[in-house]
Amino acid sequence: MTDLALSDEQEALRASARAFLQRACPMELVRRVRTTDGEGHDPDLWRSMVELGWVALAFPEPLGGGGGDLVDLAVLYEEAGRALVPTTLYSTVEAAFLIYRAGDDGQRAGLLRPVFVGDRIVSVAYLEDGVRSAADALSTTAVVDGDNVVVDGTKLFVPNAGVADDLVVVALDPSASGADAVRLVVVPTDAPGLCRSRLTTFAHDAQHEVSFEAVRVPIDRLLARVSSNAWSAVEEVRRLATALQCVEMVGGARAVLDLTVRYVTDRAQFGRPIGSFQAVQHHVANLSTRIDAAGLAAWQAVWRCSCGGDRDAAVGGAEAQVAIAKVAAGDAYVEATLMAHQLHGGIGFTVDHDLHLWSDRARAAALTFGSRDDHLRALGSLIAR
Amino acid sequence: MDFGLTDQQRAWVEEVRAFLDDEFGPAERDAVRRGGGEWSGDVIRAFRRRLLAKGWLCLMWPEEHGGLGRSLVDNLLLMDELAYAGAPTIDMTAASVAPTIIRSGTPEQQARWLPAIRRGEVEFAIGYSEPDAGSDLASLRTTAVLDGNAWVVNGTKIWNTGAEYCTHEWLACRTDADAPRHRGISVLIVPLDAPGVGVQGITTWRGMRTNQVWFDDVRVPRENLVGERDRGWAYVTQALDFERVAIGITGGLRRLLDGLAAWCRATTVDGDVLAERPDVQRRLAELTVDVELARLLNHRAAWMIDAGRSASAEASMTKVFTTELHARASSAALDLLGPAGQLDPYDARAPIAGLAQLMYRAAPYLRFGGGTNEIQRDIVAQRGHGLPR
Repeated sequence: MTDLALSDEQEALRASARAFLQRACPMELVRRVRTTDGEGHDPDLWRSMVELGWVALAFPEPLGGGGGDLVDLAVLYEEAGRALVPTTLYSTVEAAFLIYRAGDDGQRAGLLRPVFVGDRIVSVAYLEDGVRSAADALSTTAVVDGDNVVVDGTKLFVPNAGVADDLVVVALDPSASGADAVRLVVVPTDAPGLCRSRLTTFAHDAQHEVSFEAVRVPIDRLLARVSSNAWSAVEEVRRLATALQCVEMVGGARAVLDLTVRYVTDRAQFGRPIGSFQAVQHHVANLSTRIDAAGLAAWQAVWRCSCGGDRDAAVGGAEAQVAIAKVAAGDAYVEATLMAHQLHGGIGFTVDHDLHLWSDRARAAALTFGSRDDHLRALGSLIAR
Repeated sequence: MDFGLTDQQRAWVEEVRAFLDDEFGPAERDAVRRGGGEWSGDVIRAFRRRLLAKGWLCLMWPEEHGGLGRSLVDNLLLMDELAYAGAPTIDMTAASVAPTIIRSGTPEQQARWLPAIRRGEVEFAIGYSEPDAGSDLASLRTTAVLDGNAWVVNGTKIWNTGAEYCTHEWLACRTDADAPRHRGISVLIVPLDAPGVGVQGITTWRGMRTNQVWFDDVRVPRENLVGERDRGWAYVTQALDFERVAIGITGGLRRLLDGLAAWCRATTVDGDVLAERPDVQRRLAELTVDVELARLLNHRAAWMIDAGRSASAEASMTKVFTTELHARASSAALDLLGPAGQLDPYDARAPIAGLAQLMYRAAPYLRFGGGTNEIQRDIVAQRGHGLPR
């Protein structure tokens, strides 16, 4: 544990991101994009974030990226989580990582540059009915046919597919088996045979069912033609996207804690602030401890993913670190919102109050990239070896 | 940002492990179990002398006082390895008394006590709590009254672990009965063999011995008053952040978890290898998450103190989280071990050498010792979040 602090540049990035989001992502905006016709997206905010270089931050400069690393990006995610920034940021960055990790030089340049300048929004189509993480159980197929790839199948819970211009589709080639069968195809959402319908979810974030019926795309949209690279890219990107989301979740949990501390300081009963009662203080202390612990685990997971390779076996491998972080972040965020409701009482239970906006995100985020149970199962099988 | 160890830290851990491989063997392990986990008994006291000879109990003392001038993180890495091996970890004499003498003692006191501590000639029992002064320590009633060149001490102290073998009492007592209660307290060094000192053993649940100590007109040389008169409250509380971080170490939990996982991999129950059962894997995974979170909170507090940051709330967080995890983890371990978990450590069939039941029966003490967890939570809420007292 050599250095747990952010660098001066990262601290400056955090301060400017927080100031920007206070101005550009107020709660009215968060509420507006939740409406069913809002597509979970705000074009003006998106434009500003692109101009600030957020989407491109963690990619190499020759590609039009910002030359930053995952830790820099995590600084933004924590602030975005605090402000409940629409999820287009996360799904676009995840898809861009997949393209970067699995694409060749031409694909990287051709597909990523438009994303980095804000001309295209991208997302990832992975989950299916009955598939939460096992790529070898996917039923969506990608078959090479001459100069084309043909995609068939139905994807679920595809984030922000309504505004996405391209989807990175994880599919299987039925002529291959195991990890070698995994294919990554970048499919434009206006391709004939592609159909999107928005799912109705409690957090009102935009997630879609996307069906592909003999969707043909040119073969240069097939990533990782050395096939086993596709599977390792999917695993690696899923790990780092999960780690980043943990930091986002911790940012949200910290916002909830701040809100709650303010409330119990101001709210008086029995002639004194309720925050002076030991019962209330102990709830705050417990939340604060859980959030700090989850924060440390989340940043450690991001740091571990940014190291690549097996840099430090003493703190465990990236797979275990990410699983630990996701369990801890989910527990902390969910518990923070539930306890915040308890401490706010009736006023925090109304839709006029902002608290429920975080409460929805907390529970939804805990289900994204694997639930608590999924990660405990993964961790348990690592230990059993 | 870097969560890894430096090359120097990695080498340090290896050095400690190699030392423990050589010096902490079956005899020492057995002695710890017999002694209830403290620095008592000839075998463990000999082991303590070997640690002193390496300078490791005085790791953080400044070099001009004969220490190695190392960081709290280095000290934590040492304590984690000691705990993992099953050795006692927190040495109050070297880790709490000596730093206070270094910080606040007179040059004469430093010259007299520090070399003696380093050589293992003197060892202190900590005399803070009284039967009626626990969490409200400032209500303590033991008095010291100046009579010529001697302080005359009257009163009683409780939970004085080690008083039966220590040479001196590190005594918090009232030296000004008229001052506001935090301002009239001083720290006095009292030889435990002085006339008028009585020590009565108290046996605790797991078998560890602690003591009540009585002082009946005990005369103590005037120069044994540490630092300045009536400044004792500051001396007592200054050392507390360090103590709470030390209580929060996770080496013992890591030992429990590793031992448990190895046992589950090697044990068949009702026809199933335990480690292959989903319910067992789930338990182990949950414990792994908690132990890692405890480790992170603990090392974070140490890193902050090394960096010169205020870490009062963070020290309380690690104390609360680790100590409550001791009870939770050892209880979960007993459920996994089943009937075998009950076995005494001396039974060769005892899984993990009886660690689960030993830890379970020691756990309550960690939770209220070193400042109750209720007080720690107050600190997190009040100092960490500015809630009103």
